[in-house]
Amino acid sequence: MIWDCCLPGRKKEWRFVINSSYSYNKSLDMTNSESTTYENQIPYTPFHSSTAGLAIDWKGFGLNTNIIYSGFRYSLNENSYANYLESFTDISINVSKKIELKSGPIFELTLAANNLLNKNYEVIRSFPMPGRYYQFIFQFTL
Amino acid sequence: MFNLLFILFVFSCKKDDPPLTPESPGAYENGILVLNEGLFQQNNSSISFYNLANQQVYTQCFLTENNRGLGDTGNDFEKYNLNGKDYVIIAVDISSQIEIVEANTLKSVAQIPLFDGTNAREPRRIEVYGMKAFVCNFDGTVSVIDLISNSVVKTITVGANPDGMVQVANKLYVSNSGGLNYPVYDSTITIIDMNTNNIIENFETRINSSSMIVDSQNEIYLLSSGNYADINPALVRINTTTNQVDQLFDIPIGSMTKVGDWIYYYNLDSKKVMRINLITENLDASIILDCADYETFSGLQYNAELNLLFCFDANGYVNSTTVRCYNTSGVFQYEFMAELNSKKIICNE
Repeated sequence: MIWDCCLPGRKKEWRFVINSSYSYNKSLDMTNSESTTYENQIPYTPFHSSTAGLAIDWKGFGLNTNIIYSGFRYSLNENSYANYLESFTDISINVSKKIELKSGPIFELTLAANNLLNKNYEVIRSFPMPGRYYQFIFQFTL
Repeated sequence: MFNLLFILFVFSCKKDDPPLTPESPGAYENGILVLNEGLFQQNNSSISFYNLANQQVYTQCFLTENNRGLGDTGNDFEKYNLNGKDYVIIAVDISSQIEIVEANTLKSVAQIPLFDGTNAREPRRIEVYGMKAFVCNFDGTVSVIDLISNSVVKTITVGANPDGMVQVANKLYVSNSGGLNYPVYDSTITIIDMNTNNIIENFETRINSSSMIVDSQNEIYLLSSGNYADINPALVRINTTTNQVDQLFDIPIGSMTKVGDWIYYYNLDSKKVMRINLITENLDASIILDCADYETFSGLQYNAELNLLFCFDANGYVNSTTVRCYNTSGVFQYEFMAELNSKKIICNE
């Protein structure tokens, strides 16, 4: 089951985009009914996964928020505690300012805060993702 | 539409629950500890416990008791007694650690890293002699560990990639496999005096030597794995007085265990467990076990305390191992599921 929606809008100098998606994906090992892993959830495929985002733009100022959610998963065929990977939610936010010069070049300055919840999670087992971290991005386009 | 989604969501959540956190049995008594190797470089080695009183399996026991995993590729464990208390010493190969736990609680007593600078020594097998443990490391050394201070007292350089050890009186025989030196494997055995921790001598046997069994006549039966091409695996009988090869059995042996005056072995070709008499050196024609219905036969081990034979079915190496138990005539007793790639068992009273 998949649900996906994207809603762009505009009012005077305000522009915004809201998007969200959710999928319920039941992927089970049906290879061999004699196997000990029959009807077990397939590795690295969560039942539930979801994203949501909000982007607002006003006179070159931008605000972006992204939320990613992944339900629990398993790292191997067997749906046992030993192979269990917890669900996680990652919230990231950034603000940016874009300056367009009349002569052509575009400057863009972004301040980002990622993994705001400081959640310890692993997308791949034994490869932990960073906790809360900040980024400062300066882009210059000729 | 939203309501429908919500109902579906709640409904599906109830059905697809995450697994329960493993429980602790409290005391690890009257049962069997199983060391599970896990998968190479997946950091998922573990210890399971099978309670003989209620036939219940407890998983992830080391993790449950110590709030940390055992590490990567636990290869061997041995029980020993110190001042009236039982301990288990575990060799964790890829993590390159020696773990010492109390046998009845599995609580960690010591963790001894085995490194040569930054290089992992990779402990493989353990032999306990008095208050010392001899650990052969795949980097070509034997570490001597003092079990009172739980520290390494000496590191002895032996041959390439030692993979088996047996004790003959105060002598430790270490078989050097040279398993990483394909195609020129090692074929030597190093003898160490366990009282002085010094090497006595080295001698030649047969290519790619690994596990060993010593019988009541002090003869060593060494498994030579061949070169996986034109030299077949064989069993070699070694006279420990002359340190020479006396006899060669041309049998494709996968794994073997000593049962009284017999070697029980798994024949890789016929997929049967057969036996050899250690006194008469005769091959017994009778079939102890036919393992044709095993998905992945991965080892056998005799336990003298229970007088039972344990066989491991690794189920394709990526799923939990089925441990099947038989009496010494091959009559099935019971079975239970341990965890990923079970390697060895210890019986706890």
